[in-house]
Amino acid sequence: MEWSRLLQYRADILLWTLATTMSPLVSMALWYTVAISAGNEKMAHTTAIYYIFVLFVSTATLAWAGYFIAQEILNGEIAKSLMKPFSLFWGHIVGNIVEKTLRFLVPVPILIVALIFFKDFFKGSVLSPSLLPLALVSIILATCIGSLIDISLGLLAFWLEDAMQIRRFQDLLYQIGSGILIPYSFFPSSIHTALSFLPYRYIVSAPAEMLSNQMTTLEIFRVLGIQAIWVLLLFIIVRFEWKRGLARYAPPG
Amino acid sequence: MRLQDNNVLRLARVWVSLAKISIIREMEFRANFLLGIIRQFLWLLTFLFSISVVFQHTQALHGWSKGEVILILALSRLFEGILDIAITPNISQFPSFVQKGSFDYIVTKPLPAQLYTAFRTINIYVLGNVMAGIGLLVWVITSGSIHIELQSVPVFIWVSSMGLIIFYSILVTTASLAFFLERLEALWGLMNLYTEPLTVPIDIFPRVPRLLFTYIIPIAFIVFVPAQALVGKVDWHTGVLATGIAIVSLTIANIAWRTGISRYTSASS
Repeated sequence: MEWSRLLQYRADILLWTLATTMSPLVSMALWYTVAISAGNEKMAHTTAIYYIFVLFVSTATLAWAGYFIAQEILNGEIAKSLMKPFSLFWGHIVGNIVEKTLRFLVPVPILIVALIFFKDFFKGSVLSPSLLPLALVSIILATCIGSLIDISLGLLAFWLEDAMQIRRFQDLLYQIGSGILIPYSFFPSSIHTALSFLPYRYIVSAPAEMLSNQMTTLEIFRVLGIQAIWVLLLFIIVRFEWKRGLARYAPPG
Repeated sequence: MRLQDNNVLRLARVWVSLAKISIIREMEFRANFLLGIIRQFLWLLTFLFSISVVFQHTQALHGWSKGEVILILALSRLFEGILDIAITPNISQFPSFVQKGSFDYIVTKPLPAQLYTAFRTINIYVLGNVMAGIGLLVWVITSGSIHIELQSVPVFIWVSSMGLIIFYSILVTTASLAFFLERLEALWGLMNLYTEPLTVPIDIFPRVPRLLFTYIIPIAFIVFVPAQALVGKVDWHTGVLATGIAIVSLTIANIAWRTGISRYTSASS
């Protein structure tokens, strides 16, 4: 059912994905040029590969359910979903997975083209295959973090009329904190440390750093641990919001 | 027989009344307006921070000094802001009009449909970007971080106006796609696609996207070329090229619009 709904919007979704791809591509050109200007060719290569993985990871971890949940709460539609014999979150999870398969039509060809034309770039700068499963686990945890943040913001609609404003502000934090606008390897160390306390680094940058071989095995395990803690913490927050929110909820109309 | 009297004065009067209505409406949501301005300033700080990080690693970005890169940022805020106030939000809503059929109300108005679609409301919500652009521009010029020759100013003004015409044409051409696809909710996303590369010097891109941004989707003329003109990096050839591309873009936009509108059949038929 999700598939047939989705295919009606295929042109839209591809355009959207293309649009969200633009920001990492511009950043890639910028920081690649910076590294070249600084005379650091190795850093330039790492940056280029990092951004190719950023495209991939940011598509995989993207979340939007919170936006629709907020709207449903505000207009009362959520009452309908509550009556269905399964949790409304399942519908969003299935929708998310199905839509992502289509969204991958943009970053995957870019990755393949890059692999063919810039083979030398990737030599020794990609995570060794034996550690690949760890990166996969990291991407899954990253998706959970992204979705839980998104849903926790959406659920704020139980208390706030204008939950959308907060989303726009958090988008700013996401762009900086996730390492899309500026790669963590370019940050001054104090800001690097400060931003590492926020969950955003663990949504996009951390898995992409892993895949572009910028982390030791020890660091990979540390990041996985931090990711797990964030998932747990955010899950508790979302559960709390959901219970409290439903208890006080009176659908409009 | 001429049904419409489209002289410029009349259109300007209509526009001023429409603008007044939009401002009154916007002022009913003052908190939203203020939060929007705060957010635009936070974005500006983010971009400035980004530039400062760039210049911690290098002295020049493909030949552009720090002051010149800030100039590009300032012009991008200014020109994007102007379009965002007057045109972009109107055009973004247009595909849903075509899809729902409410475009009927626009074609039946005694006004040119394309101009009404593009200039219907003004959106002072993004005033923060224009203010930021002007402020930053004044600062970068007066602080002496860039060097400007007096004779560059007329060239700058000329290519900037051509840039705005090109920007408008790109938006109208893209929006015309809605007539053919009948569903283009992602138009807003497409706008992002055009504005995203405006904040950086276009010459940092590899050859293919650079040529694409110069000749196919000529966004290089919106911010990058005016910035080059102001710091004296271009000669009159570029002015001529900008004029030519502006004429071609506007012609394509009008052909796309006219072909599209002749296909429009309203939603009920």
